[in-house]
Amino acid sequence: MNVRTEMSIAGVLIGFCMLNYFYLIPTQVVAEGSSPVYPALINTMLLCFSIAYLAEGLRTWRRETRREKKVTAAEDADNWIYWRPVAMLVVTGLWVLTLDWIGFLFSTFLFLMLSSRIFGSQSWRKTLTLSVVMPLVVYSIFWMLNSILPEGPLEGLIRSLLG
Amino acid sequence: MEIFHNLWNGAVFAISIWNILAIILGYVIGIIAGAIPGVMAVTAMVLILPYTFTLSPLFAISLLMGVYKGGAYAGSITATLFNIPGTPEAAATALDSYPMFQQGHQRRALELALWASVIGGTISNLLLIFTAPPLAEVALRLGPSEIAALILFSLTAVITLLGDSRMDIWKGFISITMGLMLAVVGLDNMSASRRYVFGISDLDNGIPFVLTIIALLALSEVFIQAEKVGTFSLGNAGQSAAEAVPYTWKQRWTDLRFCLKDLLRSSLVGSLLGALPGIGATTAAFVCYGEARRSAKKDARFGEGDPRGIAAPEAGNNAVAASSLIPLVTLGIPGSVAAAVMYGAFMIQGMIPGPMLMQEHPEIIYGLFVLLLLTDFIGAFVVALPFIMVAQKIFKNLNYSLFFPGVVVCCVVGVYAEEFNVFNLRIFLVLGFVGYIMRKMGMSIPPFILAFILGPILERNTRTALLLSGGSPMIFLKSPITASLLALAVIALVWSLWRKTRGKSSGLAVPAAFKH
Repeated sequence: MNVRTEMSIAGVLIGFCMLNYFYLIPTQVVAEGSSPVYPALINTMLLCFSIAYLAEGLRTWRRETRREKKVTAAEDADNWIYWRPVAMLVVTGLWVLTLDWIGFLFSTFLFLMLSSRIFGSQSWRKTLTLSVVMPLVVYSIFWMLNSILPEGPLEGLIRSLLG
Repeated sequence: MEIFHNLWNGAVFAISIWNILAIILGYVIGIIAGAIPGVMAVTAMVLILPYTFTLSPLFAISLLMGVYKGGAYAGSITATLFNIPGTPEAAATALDSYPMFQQGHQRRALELALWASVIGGTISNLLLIFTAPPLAEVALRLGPSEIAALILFSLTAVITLLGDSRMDIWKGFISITMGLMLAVVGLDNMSASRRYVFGISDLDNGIPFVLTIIALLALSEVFIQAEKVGTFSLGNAGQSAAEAVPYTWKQRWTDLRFCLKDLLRSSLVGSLLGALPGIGATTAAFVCYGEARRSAKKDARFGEGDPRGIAAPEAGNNAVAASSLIPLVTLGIPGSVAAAVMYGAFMIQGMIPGPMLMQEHPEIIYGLFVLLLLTDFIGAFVVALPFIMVAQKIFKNLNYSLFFPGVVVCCVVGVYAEEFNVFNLRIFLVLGFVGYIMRKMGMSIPPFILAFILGPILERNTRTALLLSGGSPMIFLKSPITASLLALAVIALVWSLWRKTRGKSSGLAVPAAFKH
């Protein structure tokens, strides 16, 4: 990670500390009847460490500027590898958000199909097998333990078929 | 003599076929998890944790200890066979175990790692058994100001001992304060008023502990692994250059005598490092490897298949497992992420680890000690020895593209099963992403988790101390123990910053690629 990014992160943390002092603590702590002492103490610690982090970043940036260090094309190209983690985040988010509506079985099936492709699975047969078997196994275990996973139309159909 | 009496009572209470089965099952899970690169024993412990609700206390804790001990050894399996460490601590083992494998001594390398693990683990178990009771006695005399200072010192030590640069130190402290902040969410534990819940009643009980650990460790690891898709496959890695050579009993005896000094030294060093908060198995492994190399004669063949290069780091990293429980059992302060998971396991069973548990339920604590002693031997003879014969075949065929999505499903099901609340899954996703961002920024996750767990204890003791002193912070300086601990924390910070200014590393030389 380059120094400018580190300094930006330090700036964001300092901004968060200010937001915490002037908005979040008054509205989310004091207004609820709680003592602000401990949250303010932790916030102060975070502010101090963020300022120290920013100062260290500035010091390193000045040193690198003197040495005229440049970001190479190879370092820039690294950004491309982030599409898979972002895709996993989006797919996992969609899965979590739709669990309640679609139900565990179908949403997990879709999640496993998509996430296996993100991870580069080449075999449709193995992907399909995992996507069908794993949700069924988990659902069966919860059924046997008399516990309920989020249910949708498919689970309703299974229940009606099994009586 | 009382220790032996308590151990006997603990053995009578704890040794049962079910607890032995728990150890075996846990060791199997741990050995599989630890051997797979990208999955660690702690990840497996975290995934199992929510399912221990319905289990008896000793069964649950035996299961988790089996996972931890199995994983602590297992990283050396893929390190030996493929030069790809299954766990970060096995990277030190790979330096000599892979060259030994390439010379055809596959069995020798794997068994050296196994027996070193057993010896290191046993010595560490004995240290835990004989130091825990007197330390617990001392802990009972600590007041709220002493406990608060001890927690602050523990958190400071985690950062100052491991940071390799001043940036690392500041990032470590930011990680800790963020963990302390996250712990504030929910009801104030003294006035029961809400804090940072934003009107969401699901947050009244705070962020669940199990969810946080799974999100920060397991889910963020899946995102990290998603970046590495296609960069390696165990199927294409590691071919032995020579025919497999049998490993005779005479050779086993010769190796044991040759490595004995390094085994004993590494076991003690690993035990001592493990008892310090935040040090971890990876650091212990590299320190022990470094010491073995430094103390060997000039004609030693480290890096070319020297048996001491396998025995030393394996004994060291396995010795951490039991000794990291010392602060947990005696003070109720988890000093490592694995100890934090064990803390969660105790909490799920309705017990609070610490000196009071040793007083009120000694049969549980001493039963745990006895089971720990058995875990290394049962795991080695019943699980590990048969497993290493088939390990190469299993891991060559592992399909990562199906494995990690399966891990995510296990995580989500585990989180959901804790409270059967879909809202928790949303927090889980957010924290998983936060954990991924933190790791990309170079911020260490274990200090965050330790701070999150210790935060409520720190707050409760700090506020109690201030109540007792009528609001005066001088209470933290009046007690000699408190003042000493706070002074040590400040000295550790200043010393560490001064060393970094002079361009020196922490001295606990762990390559950056293997830091969590």
